[in-house]
Amino acid sequence: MPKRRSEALSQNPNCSKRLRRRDITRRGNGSFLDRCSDEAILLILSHLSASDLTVCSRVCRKFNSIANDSSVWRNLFYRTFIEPRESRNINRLRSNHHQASSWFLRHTLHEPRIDWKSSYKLRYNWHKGRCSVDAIDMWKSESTDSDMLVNDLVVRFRGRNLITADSKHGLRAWDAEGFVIATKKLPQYSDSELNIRYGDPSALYLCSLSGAIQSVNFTVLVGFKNGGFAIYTVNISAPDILTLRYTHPPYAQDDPIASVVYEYPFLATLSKEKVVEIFKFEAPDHSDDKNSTGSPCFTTASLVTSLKSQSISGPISLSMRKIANSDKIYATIAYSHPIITSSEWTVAIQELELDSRQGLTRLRAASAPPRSPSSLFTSRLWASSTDSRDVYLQLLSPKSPTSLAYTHPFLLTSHADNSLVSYLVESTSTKLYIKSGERLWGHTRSVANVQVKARGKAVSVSTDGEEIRVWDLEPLSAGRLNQDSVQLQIVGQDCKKSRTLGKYLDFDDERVVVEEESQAGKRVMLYDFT
Amino acid sequence: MVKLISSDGETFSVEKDVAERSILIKNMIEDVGDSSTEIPIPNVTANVLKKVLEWCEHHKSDPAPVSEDDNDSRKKSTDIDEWDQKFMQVDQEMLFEIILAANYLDIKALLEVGCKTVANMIKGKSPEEIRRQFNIQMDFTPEEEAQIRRENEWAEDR
Repeated sequence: MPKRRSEALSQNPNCSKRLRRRDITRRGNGSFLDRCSDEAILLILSHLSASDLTVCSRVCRKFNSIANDSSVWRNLFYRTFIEPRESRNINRLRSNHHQASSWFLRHTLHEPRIDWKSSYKLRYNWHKGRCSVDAIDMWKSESTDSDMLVNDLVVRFRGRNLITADSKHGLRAWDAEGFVIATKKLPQYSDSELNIRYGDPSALYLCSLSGAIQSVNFTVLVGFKNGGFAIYTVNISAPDILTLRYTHPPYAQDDPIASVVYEYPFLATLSKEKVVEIFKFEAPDHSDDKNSTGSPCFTTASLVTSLKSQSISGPISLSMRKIANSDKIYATIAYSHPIITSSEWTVAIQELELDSRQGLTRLRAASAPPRSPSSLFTSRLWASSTDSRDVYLQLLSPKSPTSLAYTHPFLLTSHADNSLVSYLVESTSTKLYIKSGERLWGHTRSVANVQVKARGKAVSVSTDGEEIRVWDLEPLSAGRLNQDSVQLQIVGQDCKKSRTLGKYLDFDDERVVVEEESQAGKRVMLYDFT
Repeated sequence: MVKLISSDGETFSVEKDVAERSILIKNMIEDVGDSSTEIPIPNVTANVLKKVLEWCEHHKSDPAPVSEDDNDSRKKSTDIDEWDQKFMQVDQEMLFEIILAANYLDIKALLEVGCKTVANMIKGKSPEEIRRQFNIQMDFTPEEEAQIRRENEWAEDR
């Protein structure tokens, strides 16, 4: 039969594509693909890449609907982003335990609601560093009136919303288009004798609510220049978007809150004078006002502990994390400090173990081992092309880090010498340990700010704000770090920059937010990856 | 030996392990319990069945298809082994008939090879080239086409 088949073909040497196609149309079948079931086409398309799939979408309606099928994109998502990473991890761990957990991941993610094409696109854009950019003006100075200067504006973002606080406008919520959707006056403490300008904000923190208040989008913590703080909840769909839940009077006068973090029932503040205070909210008293929409979980906050440092001069980061399946919450102070015997800087952390019943249960500290000169030469970027003496001098980085970010287990510092240093923190019940740092190269300018989030995604920005890099840090075997990074490429029109960089840099799954300020005002740049 | 009868009445005698590359036939033989019965294959014509059996003959000693869950380990690239590539050098009609038959007869590996072959015909082409290749009618309105193009621009750089 195969012989007969080839004879049949050879009998018709003019059997060109065109002839064959006419043959098909004569049968009235149109395309062969019309006779294929959608499932068969799905199988065919499952062998294609994202770019081929998007081309297929443009072929015809049938192809368009199948090429947008979520299952195709889900498989592609796994093949492109999860499996390479998983196989690396399996090589590292070689344990059945991990395979079990990857199986779990695979099966819990089979939720029909996930738009896998959008997920793929988002991940792909991050991977390529591709985004669009938008600028939102937080305030513009009204020329001559210097009293109108808003110099204490703090910005945070969450999802599609921005929250700002300043002494002139109070607390404001913004939508993604840059419109103010809600304004609330900041609380004024009645202590006029001391002549303190109350209600001047100095820190903001947004978090999802881990207390008991329902139908709330997120919680806003405001720290004040006088050392007090206040808690608001945000409910975008309610008529009253911003609700004041709690105010806390200052303990130390004139010591502005530099940062505030919260993980129910604990709240931690860090002041400008390097005082860390941990507060605990008492469990709500259920006997009274159960019907009230008030603040059941924000009753009085009592001071758990207070720590002070005399000597830290570099950047400090204060963070809190909850340990899954336990009552334990860790408050971590990460800071950088110079090594006395050399001109080098290193990082250290101090971890406070908090228990919702017992309060502070443990306090421990760890410092990164100073890098010995022999390990300084490992950077592949410099080793071959530059005089080794220069490399040594470069890596010494005698100046303080420009910023420090910590999201367990990643600890990153940014430096004026165009580099970042990444440390891994190991925190178990028996030990707290910082693995020696690894220098990350990629920037061509001085790095001003870095931010890191779970799973090792980090974003860093250069001093002039022109250069933003996205990092995908992942611990590899032998304690090495995968350090892929990509520079942001703006798709579409670019917003011209003529300002200096503000202090604030943050990102979530979809966007990077960078604060910029100048005499003429303050704005945030929104880099959108969707 | 197993006797298979194509939709157009032709009878094929093949070894049992060749025929059992098809899960459908394998299950039928198990159900009947007697491999000497004639098995009708109503959806597949003689020339296609011949071709499919040629593939089964060549692959009869391949390791048995693993369980349903082999999706993960399955190599997703569009690499096809040399013999299969030659085997798939047929006209488009035959190619699609083979895919349909492999689907009907439940021969996973052959279905895979067929789909990969078609995928390779799509790879790297423009929408217009794909339409020409498979004789597909463009059924978008200009507005729809423009919109779908915009929605899919993000992945265009390869």
